[in-house]
Amino acid sequence: MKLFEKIADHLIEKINTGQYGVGSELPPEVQLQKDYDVSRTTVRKAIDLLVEKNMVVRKKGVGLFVAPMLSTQNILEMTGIIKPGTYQHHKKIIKEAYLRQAGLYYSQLLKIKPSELIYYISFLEIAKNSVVKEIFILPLNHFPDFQVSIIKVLSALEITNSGKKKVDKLEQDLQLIVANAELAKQLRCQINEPLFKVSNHYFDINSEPIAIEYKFASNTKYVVDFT
Amino acid sequence: MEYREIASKTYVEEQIKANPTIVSQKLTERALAEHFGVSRTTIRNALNDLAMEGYVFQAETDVEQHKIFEINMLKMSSFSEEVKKEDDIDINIKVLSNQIINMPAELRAFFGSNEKLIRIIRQRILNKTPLSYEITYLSSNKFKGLEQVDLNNVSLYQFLKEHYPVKPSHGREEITYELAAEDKAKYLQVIDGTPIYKVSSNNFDDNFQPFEHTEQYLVGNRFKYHLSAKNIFNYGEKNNEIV
Repeated sequence: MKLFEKIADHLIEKINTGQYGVGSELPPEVQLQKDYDVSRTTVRKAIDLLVEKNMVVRKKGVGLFVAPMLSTQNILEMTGIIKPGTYQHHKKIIKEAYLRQAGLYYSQLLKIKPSELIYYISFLEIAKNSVVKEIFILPLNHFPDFQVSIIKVLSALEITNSGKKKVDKLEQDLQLIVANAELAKQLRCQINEPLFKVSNHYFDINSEPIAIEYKFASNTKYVVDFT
Repeated sequence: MEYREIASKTYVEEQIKANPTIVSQKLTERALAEHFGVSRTTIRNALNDLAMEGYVFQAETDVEQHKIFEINMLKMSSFSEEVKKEDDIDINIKVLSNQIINMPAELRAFFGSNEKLIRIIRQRILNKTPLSYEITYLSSNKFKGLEQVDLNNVSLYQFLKEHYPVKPSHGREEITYELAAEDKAKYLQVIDGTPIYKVSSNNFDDNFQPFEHTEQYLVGNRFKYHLSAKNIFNYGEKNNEIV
């Protein structure tokens, strides 16, 4: 076995044992080079092997991430959920990421105390002909090890599944609304132009709320496949 | 990650979402401003943004006319049929036309033939206000004689189930929006430019044969689609559950 294969095996073990969780960031290649005391080429070859096996994703200028379990294709093939009609290659731009108190409204939806902290993360998904705004509301208690960087690689399902509770149930609402000033600016449309708002409420197997996701989209087709 | 205080407008919006009746209790912007300890401008902006997001605050007397319908899409059926499921409301189905037509070019690919189709145009009406305008195309070979049936106030899916051997098996609904114009504005009784849902559905029977295509237009601020999926990470198993 060659040295780069040994390193690859070692990294695979760390991924399989959950030391590096799905969506988490791997140490940068420079760091791995130091850790294993090998050349840049060897590290590169080891990572290439993992990328080839679909275990790691390389995000240009961002870093290395443990690959998601669900591919976009999986999600587009799911039945019984509201999903985008087609997958568009997009870029995610994080607009806001902070902690705040849940407050009355989110405390009711998430069954937590109003004083408990929640992550409020909003970002834009910019594709060639469309912009989608997404907001994630994640209670700190369920997501103690949350890293904002996973937003860039994981699907919504995997983001909400990355905490202490595992996702089992999804309740979705789709509504036709109109853009307010803030949404119009971010989605590059006119004030009062129609938009879809999708609200996704994620629950565990005991129907305990885990997280909430909102999407605002113009120019988008949603589909539902039934069986 | 940094900690932030909740902005006052956001605070007001969330308080109102958690307890919407506060708006009708307090009635005026001034009273709401006092209640929440914020300026009237903040109240106005919050109410305005909530309204744009589809929250309706109206006088209690007119509840029925402003009711927002939740359409549950859990089981496959043309979702128009779901609207009437709430039994306390009286929704009428009015047939505008029911006739045999030549295969429209744009539907040839879906039906995979050049047979004639039955085209049924219907309106759903609540207290004289139209909720939906829908055009259904059905295979004329599979549904012989349907064009002669009086389908006013009849659930189409129910009728098909009882009178024809076709078993709906799977389908796809595509949801987009557009601005009402022409026949849609006319039959939905909304002014041109009102946002409306357009829902196109393609349905197949248990032999994988296409049997129905529907284009449904719904008044945008009257409907909300709801979907509920269990066992989401093992959706293969989930399908078994539904069956």
